[in-house]
Amino acid sequence: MANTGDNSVSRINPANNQVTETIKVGAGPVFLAYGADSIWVSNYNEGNGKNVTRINAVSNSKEATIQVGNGPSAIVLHGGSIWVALEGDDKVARINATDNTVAETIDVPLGAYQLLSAVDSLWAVGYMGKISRINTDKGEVVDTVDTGGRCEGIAYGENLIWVTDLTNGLMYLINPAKMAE
Amino acid sequence: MLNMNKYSIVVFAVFFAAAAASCEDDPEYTVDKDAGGSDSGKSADAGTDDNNDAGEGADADADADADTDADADADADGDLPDAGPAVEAFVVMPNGPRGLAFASGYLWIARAFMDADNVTKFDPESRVPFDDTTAGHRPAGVLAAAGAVWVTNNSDDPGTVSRINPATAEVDETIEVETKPWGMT
Repeated sequence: MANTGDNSVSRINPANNQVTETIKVGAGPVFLAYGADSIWVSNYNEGNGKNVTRINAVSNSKEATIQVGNGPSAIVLHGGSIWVALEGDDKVARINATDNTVAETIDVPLGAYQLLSAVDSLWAVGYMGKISRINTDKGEVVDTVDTGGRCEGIAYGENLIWVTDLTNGLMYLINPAKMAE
Repeated sequence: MLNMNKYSIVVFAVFFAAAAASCEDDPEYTVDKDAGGSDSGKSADAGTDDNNDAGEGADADADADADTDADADADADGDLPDAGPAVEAFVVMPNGPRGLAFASGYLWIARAFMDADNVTKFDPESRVPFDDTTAGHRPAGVLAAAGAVWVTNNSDDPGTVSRINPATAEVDETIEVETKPWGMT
């Protein structure tokens, strides 16, 4: 898990509930994801660069620091690639795991803070509760939902996208079948 | 215009039988099965309160503590938002719902405001909450992994992670980590 206040990530062994490793990363790590035998950590407060730390999931060693853009927050594995939300740029970025560079970015005008990979789409939670459905093959936002709240969590199950609204004390049930793909 | 309090009472009657198993004394949980799918005259004023600070959610310094409890359920006495036809329903989930994850057929939702400090076990089929598990202070992230539900307690000092047994909805272990834990994988 990402320890935002300690600029570190902790690894827990679920077999004995012990922290087996604590690894220093960049400033303000918020989210992390697993993919390509690595842990990818978004460093939200990292200087001027705003970057992602790549950690070897076997050796726990830091392998790369990748400049991605402003305000990297959520980071997920989608379509075999690592995608990171750039809250400061209103974009999502795909990281090339082969050379540790940003391979492409997609504009998300309504903002991208939290991400979910589901129903062959990348879903971004942005400003003021706006949810964007992104078709990464097309490289564009294909549909949006405007809840008007402050949404934070997003998950998929029972053929629905579930989104929590922190401020209004609500949870929205979004049917992806009723949205453009 | 649809007053949520009145609406809650009406809808609660419909779901009372299902809710009785666990939350019969808690009428705050409701489901609007028709929201968004029909024009019920709901206005989209949710989120217009002055305290709404959407877009700051990932500010690593502005953690859960930065959100005042006064923000919580700011629109609870107002109207349900009209979020469009793709939103099939709303569930009233007071006290700052944050991270969520599916595990063992249920949805587990961290609730951080008003010192709720719990994780709600929610039945996605009946759309009724099943149980609340007390977590640490300001639970934020939720992860389903290794047969358990893991919750980061963002404002415990030092930070902690609660390991919840999804079968019993009880905390099996509280693990101390570093300051302000949030996301997990």
